[in-house]
Amino acid sequence: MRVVIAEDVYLLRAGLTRLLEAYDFEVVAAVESGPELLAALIEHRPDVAVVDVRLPPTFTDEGLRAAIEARRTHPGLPVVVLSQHVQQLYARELLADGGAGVGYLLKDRVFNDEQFVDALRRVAAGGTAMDPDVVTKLIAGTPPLARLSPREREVLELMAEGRSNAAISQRLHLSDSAVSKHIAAIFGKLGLAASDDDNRRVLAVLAHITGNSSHTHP
Amino acid sequence: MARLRGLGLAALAAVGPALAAVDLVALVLGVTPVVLWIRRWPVAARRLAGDWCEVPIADPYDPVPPPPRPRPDGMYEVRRRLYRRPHLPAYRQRAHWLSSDGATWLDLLWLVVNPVVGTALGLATVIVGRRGLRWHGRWTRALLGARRPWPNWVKDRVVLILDGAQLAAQSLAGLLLAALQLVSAALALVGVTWPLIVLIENSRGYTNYYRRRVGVDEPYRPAPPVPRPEPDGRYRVGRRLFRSPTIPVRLARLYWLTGDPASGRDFLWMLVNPLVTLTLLAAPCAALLWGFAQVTTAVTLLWRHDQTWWLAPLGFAASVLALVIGPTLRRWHDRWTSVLLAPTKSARLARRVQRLTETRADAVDTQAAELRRIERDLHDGAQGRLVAMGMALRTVERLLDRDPETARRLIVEVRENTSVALNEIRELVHGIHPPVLAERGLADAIRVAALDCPLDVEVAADLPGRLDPPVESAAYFAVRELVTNAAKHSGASRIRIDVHFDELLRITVHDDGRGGADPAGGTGLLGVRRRLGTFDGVLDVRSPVGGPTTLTMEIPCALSSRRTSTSSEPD
Repeated sequence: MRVVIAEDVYLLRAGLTRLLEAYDFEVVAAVESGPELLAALIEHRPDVAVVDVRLPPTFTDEGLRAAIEARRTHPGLPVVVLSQHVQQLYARELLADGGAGVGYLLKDRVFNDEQFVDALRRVAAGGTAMDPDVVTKLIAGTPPLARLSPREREVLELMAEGRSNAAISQRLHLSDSAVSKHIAAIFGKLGLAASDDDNRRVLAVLAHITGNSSHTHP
Repeated sequence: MARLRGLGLAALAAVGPALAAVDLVALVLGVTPVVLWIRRWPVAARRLAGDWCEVPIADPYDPVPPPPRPRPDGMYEVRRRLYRRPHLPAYRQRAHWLSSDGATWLDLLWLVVNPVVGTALGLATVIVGRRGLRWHGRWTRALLGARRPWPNWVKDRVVLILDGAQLAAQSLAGLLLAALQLVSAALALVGVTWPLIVLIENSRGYTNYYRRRVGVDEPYRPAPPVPRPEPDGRYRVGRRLFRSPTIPVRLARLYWLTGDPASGRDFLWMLVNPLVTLTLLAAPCAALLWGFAQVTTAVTLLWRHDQTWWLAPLGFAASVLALVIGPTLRRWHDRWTSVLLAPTKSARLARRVQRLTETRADAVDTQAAELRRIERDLHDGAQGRLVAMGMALRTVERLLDRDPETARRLIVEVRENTSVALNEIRELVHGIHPPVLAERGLADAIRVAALDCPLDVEVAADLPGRLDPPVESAAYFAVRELVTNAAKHSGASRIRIDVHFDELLRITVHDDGRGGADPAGGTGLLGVRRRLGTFDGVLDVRSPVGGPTTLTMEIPCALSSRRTSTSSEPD
């Protein structure tokens, strides 16, 4: 799987490269600034890109803007944005185009390499990977969710992070059918159209909690 | 018939002057029933003009105001004052309604003048018949018809001149204060200092009243600091030593008061002002009243031959002259006052230096407190954790060969610890300078704060670029403090934040809570005010009891052109 890495701190860039190569990714470019990233994304069209929010030259949100810009010219280009902090606002902006293949994670998540690589693969396959922290914040700002039972809330949070049915059932120690039942209940309570496709379902949930109602009926 | 009516109109006019005198007194004292009772005469005159003279005239009065309605807290508000019961405010409201109506004053003028013109036209009707009645009707319409701007012109000027007369009378108090200052200065020379201190302090209250009226700032130097004792516990003033601080405090105040050039200017102004007000303010008032009296007497005593006839036109001319030049003279008086009472350039600089000293001290204090907090957080948090992790890794090193199972458990622990440490540092960084602020600037940082707030917060931000980082940071933390305050104390359900830049940065935080926010009450608003003070920024608090609350901060600053916000609003 071909990947582009954008990270300005040398140690982290080298560490990420080593980690991904250990999991059989092919790092086609490892860049350290916003303009280089945009050029690399358009030149290599990688299967997935790992992008730090804050990059030279301005050390503001170069990486995020480059990712959004690249996804505008190449819709669906899979990007995982890494940051020292997660913000609802950035998550909303990343999800605003409604397309699939977006990830937004805290840098700490790299510590758990298996989960991190799993998230990358999910995004590369057109899925989503949202950090639990940002999902919690997004859900806290959505009042109608109060009607969900605690268990349904847990399922919703995992689903919003971008996990599949199988992953959810494994995480919560539930049977597949129980998870399906919970999901059906959640979709019923939120008034969303059910779908068998994991990725589509996740997008519907995210669209709902970010208030992006135009995607509730895919 | 027409001739009889003419006679009737002439008779009606005759009672005018007596009514005019009563009306004027009632208006000045605010006795509304009397004014309303006298109003019947001009109302009757208008009706008769329609019925008898074929010149219909509509009543021009302002509509009756609705009775005052209670506010949410049960009080009644009329003209920016609160009342517990409705009777007094209703009465005051009616008095204001009458006296602010130009038609009321026109009625008064008509009562004075009509005895001459109305009587003459009424008698003329006896000779010329119906035609005279029509003249009478037109005359009535000229004075009592629909409102024209000139009664207001007269009213405004009369009010201004009477107000000036009040100022002239008050200037005598200033003269008295100046004279007393001279006497107590003599007393101070023989050692009795407190009368001079008390007098100068009260004179400042007096001149400040005038400063507020003409709109200039206070020029005085800042009050002296409390004297500090020498190492042996005694207080030194010049070459003298005192055991208790009473006299040093008093002397410090005395030197402060007498050493300020503004005190000398105050004294000069109080001494000369009576003369100035006499010529500029009292004279026009005297001319106006004398003229009014002459015209009224002339009209009342028309039939007496010993009246010197030319006094009436002279009085009329004097009144008109007073009305015409009154405002100009008042302006001259205000200018004279502001020339002497306004702060001089050096006084203004001295105040500026004082303000800068205060705000600098505040800024240094705030910074130091902030650094202490960061130091404590790092020391208690991340630093301790790093030490613990180092120790754990050392143990792992030792156990690696002997007991790999325990070593593995320890490594998991260390990894979890790094996560916790990272979280702590993240929160610390957020408190020092939120990443969104650095990455996106003020508008988006406020949007994020709004998203994270449990209340319904609406943000309307319109900034054409980035601000200086220190201003950005101060404004951001001020907004967060205000929003937190609103969420915690006001019971509001909705907050609206407006961010606007136009020469200066203006941010308004509006909430629909129960109001009553007071900078003197809590430290929150005071802290915001102090923090903004470093940038010459101000915080305006409007929070009546019962709400809503509007907090406005203004920070003079420049805008840099770099623009980084791409904010595509998601909803």
